[in-house]
Amino acid sequence: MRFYTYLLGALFFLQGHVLFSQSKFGNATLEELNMTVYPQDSAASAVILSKVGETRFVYNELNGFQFEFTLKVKMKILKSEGLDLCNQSFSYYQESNSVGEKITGLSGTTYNLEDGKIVKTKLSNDYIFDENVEKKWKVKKFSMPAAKVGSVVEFKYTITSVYLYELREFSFQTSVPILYTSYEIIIPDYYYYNVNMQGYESLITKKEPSNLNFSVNYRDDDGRYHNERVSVNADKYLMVGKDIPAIKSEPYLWALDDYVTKVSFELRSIKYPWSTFKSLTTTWGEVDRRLLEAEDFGGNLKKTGLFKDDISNTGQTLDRAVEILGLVKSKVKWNDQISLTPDNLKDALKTGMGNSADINFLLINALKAGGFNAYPVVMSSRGKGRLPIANPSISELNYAIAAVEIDTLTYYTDAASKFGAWNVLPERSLVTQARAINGTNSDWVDLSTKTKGISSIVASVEFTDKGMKSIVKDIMRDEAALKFKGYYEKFKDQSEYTENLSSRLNGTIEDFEISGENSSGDDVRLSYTLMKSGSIGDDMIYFNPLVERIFTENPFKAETRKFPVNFDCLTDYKQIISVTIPEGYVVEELPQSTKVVYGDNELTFLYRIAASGNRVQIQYYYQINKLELYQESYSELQDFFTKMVAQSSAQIVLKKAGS
Amino acid sequence: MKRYFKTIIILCYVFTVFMEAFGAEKQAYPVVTIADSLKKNANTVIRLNQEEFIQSDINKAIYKVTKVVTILNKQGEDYGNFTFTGDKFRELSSFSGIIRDAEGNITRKIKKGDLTTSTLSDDGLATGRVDMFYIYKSPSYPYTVEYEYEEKWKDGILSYPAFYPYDGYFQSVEKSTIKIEVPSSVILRKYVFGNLDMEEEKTSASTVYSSSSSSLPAISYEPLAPSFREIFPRVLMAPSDFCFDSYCGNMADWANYGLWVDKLLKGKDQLPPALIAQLEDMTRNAKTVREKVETVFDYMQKNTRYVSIQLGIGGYQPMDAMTVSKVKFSDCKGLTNYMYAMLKAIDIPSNYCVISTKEKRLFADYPNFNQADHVILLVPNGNDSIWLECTNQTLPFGYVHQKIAGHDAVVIGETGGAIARLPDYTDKQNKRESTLNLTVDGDGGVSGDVSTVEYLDGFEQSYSVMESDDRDRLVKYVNQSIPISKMQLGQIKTSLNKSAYPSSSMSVPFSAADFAAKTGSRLFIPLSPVRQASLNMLTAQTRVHDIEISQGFTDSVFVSINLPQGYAVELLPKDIMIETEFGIFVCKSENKEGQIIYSQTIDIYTGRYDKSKYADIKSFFTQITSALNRKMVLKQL
Repeated sequence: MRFYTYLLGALFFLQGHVLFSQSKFGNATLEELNMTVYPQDSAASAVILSKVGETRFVYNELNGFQFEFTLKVKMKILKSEGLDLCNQSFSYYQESNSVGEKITGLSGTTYNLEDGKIVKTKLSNDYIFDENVEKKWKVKKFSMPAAKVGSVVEFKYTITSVYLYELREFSFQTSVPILYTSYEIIIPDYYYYNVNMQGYESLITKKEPSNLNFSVNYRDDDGRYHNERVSVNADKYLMVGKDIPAIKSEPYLWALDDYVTKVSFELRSIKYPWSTFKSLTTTWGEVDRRLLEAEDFGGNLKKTGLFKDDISNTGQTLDRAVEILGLVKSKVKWNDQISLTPDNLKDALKTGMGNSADINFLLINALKAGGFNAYPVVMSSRGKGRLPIANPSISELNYAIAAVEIDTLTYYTDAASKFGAWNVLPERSLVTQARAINGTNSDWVDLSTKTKGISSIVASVEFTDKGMKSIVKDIMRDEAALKFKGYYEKFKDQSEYTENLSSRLNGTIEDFEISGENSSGDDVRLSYTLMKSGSIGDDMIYFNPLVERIFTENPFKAETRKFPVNFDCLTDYKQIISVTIPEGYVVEELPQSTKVVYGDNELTFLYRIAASGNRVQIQYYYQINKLELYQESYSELQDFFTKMVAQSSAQIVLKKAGS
Repeated sequence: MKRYFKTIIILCYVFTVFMEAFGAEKQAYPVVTIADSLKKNANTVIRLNQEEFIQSDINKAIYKVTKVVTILNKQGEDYGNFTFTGDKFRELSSFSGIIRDAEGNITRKIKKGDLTTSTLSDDGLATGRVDMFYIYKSPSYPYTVEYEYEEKWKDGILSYPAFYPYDGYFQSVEKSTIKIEVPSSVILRKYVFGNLDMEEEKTSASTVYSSSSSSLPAISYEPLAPSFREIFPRVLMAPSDFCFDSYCGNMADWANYGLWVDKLLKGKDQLPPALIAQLEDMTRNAKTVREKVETVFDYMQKNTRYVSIQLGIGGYQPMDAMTVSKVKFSDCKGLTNYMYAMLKAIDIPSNYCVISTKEKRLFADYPNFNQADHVILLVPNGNDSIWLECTNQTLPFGYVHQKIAGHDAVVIGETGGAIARLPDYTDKQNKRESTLNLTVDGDGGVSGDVSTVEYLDGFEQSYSVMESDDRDRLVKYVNQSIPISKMQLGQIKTSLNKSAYPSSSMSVPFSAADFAAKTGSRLFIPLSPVRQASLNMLTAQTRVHDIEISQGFTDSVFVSINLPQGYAVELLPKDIMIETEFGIFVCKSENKEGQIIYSQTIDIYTGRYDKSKYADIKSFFTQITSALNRKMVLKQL
């Protein structure tokens, strides 16, 4: 059956190819207008017939070298939801009215079939708008006229920009499928760019030598003015994709952007024949060096003077590092902005507010003032996506935290995180590849596994006249404590939390106590009595003694999985339950003890139950030992959670003695 | 009492003049002076809100505001920000701000140049709006923000600033005052809700209206509370005669309001001759008015889409039909007017109707611009009037959807406006029916089929998934309805009844392992595997506000379970029947020789219930929730 579907798909694939490949701009064919469904994906609300991007380098007297990025898109609207694509917007940067990026040639046409005739409607200037976002960013918006289900819509525009280090990236994959897409760039040898390709879809790529001519004005290194026609060798890259499926998000994914098929560029160096070689980024070592040389990064690592009155060198112990972290956090709070570089350390100290880097750099300086070896660790935060390791790039970095060496060990912290501590990091900085900028010892570090979410619930269960009574102690450590503190903070007060907890645990909460919830680093300890209604006296008692069920449903419901599964953090979770069997009852039946393992102990689940005397003991363990699991074993992953969910609702059966 | 009130206002006024003349006080508004009663349940405290509005003529006014707010904790942070939205009719002429620490010392001064300006419209194509804002984050709490600003109103005044002593929940108020000064020729209309008084003072040139409120304790948010409009006190005020972008009118009653709107619509109904001919052609063979309207409506749905453009007077005046016929997009006003124009072209009269999607009732005695936020079309047709939602390409023809059903609408005509009420549904009509036929095996696995039919609410939430033909989305929908682990689903069949009382149906065969939990020789089978609307939102022990259930419903589940060979029922949960004034819960199970028949109905009634009934409602909901978690027990023979 499955095979048959596949064959059918392949057949349509070929047909689609013949009909639609390389759809031309400037008109729509009857086949395109008559198309009602995209056979490879009948759910598609629209299909992009053609998406073509082109980047050219040009020279003009006023601005010097610029790039021109031209985008042409032609699409077919198949369902009303697809009409959203007829409202387009994109952002660009303008320093002032005269300086910055320019948009030219924005035009579009909608094609409709009316009474067998093709009717064209052009995009009018009345429906093209510019809006100012904050600072110098602008958004260009337009809405395609006369678009409806069945329309073929095309538009194009060119962005001209002097920001050669900000070449537009090009995505070969979008929220709807694409029949044909190509990107071409001709890069003169003046520039050396890293070309970063990523994604799951295959492209046909070609690189061939080419040649470009410019008429340039320049001053040489001696200050002499020249005007000449130059010819330069160039590389022409062409990338073509056909029948690229739509990209869809999935649960348990750190950043969907990691999986989009796209190409991006990082400028490494500039070499004009009339000027000296200018290197930007070539290796990660070079990235380190450039960061350290930059005033806003390296310059901000030499400000230990800010703490000369507050911190003295009293030895380098972990306790002291904890103390200094506490001191810095008490002086400066996070303003919710994430950043690779500080804004202004002095201002941050003065106003008591700063961006993430302000606080982390202040911590590094404070630690240095205390005689520690402390340094920044830079990364692309989890939500932004992975660093392209093979292609060193400053622009891919967006975040920095602090590291400190004590004896032979290294500890990490994100001082912007209110409840973070040494080796307890918020999710945004739990990345697999971060770069520790530690002079000549700079290196990669995997932060994602530096910390664990540890939870341990111990409960003793007995039966009273009112029902099942569980005396619960719940201890959360490290990542589990960090998450809980952030969650608990959102409640108005303790009673609002306990009301919520009672509803979640389906019982009533009494004698609730909490500690450690408000300080970073400490474990959170909860203790309470949970009462669940139930009646003693029946011939049989059926009950589930677990305090909570971490999963009441399988978290993986989709039938298939396209991308790897990412968990938040390493996890070590347990419940230890001891049940006292009420007098007059005996154990009739117990659930089976079970152990479920996924892969090579990447996930483990254990449910062990035993009765002895008038007690039943349950040990319930759940561990995540690896954060990334591969989609190939998705079915086993579903089975793992199915077993776990089922076992978590297992019931104990007691019977009245003698009945 | 009233005299005393006036004195305070005058004193306050003098105090402001003093402050302006000598600059901000070095130390002011220390947190210690806030009464304990105002700290209770409060995230923020309005120390002083002083609004002064002076209208100079029908089109112009100056609006001065001093606002001082103490932020007690992080939850209140947003109330410390400054935001202003300007457009063709309003500009910010001056602004200054001060931040103070807990003791009241100045820690920062803010100038107009420190404000961030943005013209970005989040969801629309264009708005012509300018947002100016200042976002302040403090390293510690509490702190106090003090904003003083002046707005220039021009080109028309539809309403005066509304007086809301509170800005929101968890906020208390030390003092809040408003003063509206209008030329003596102007008649001011007002709507007062809550315990607020309005003073009136006449001189030869002007009339001054004022109101004031002080020492108001914070109000906590509660789930299922009435809407904030029915909780927070407010005074709405507006001129009787007004102009707006040179369209003048009178708002003494809704009839006059209708005349003004009608004026904005004048001449907006022209269509290209080719389209008129096409419409005549399309409807020539239709026998009834309803059929003709349906044909035109279908054409409108298939040829247009929603795009929001609100430039200039565009918030009130629709884009003309001629333009819509070309670009084929517009907002609710433009699309409704386009539909109106098309019906007119084939000689079917209809009415543009202004409606609120948030409030069911429009104030009969206070016609206003504050309530309405949407526009629909009414086609009067004897006993068979048709209400048309023109801002949706996929809802069924003639379906009065849940955001407008039972609401008041102002029906606009040449003779003015009149309030009419849209048809409403009963709670029984807002229903879902699920049927499951299951066969359980000895290992706890299950196979069978499930089918559901959903009406109204359920239809609105599911029909686009059903129409999508997207298996991923359909699988998600099935899992949403039936939360069984790792279901193997067969072909998912769907059908839609897109009538004026629409429904969506789905059926699918499935199997799943580990459906029933197993303990030794026993199987525990969940009685009702269908996910129910969550009824555990009431967690608090006490209640301040009445309970409002705004959308009642009926949910029925029928399950037949074939038992595995060699197993017998050990425990069948007891039948339950709970009848309350808020709803009914009934469930029954029956053992019919190897087959269990289970049925369950939850009826929740729309209504507003006195807060004294809180414990009863909470207990009713809790009983339902725990009953739904019950399991039946089978034992191997």
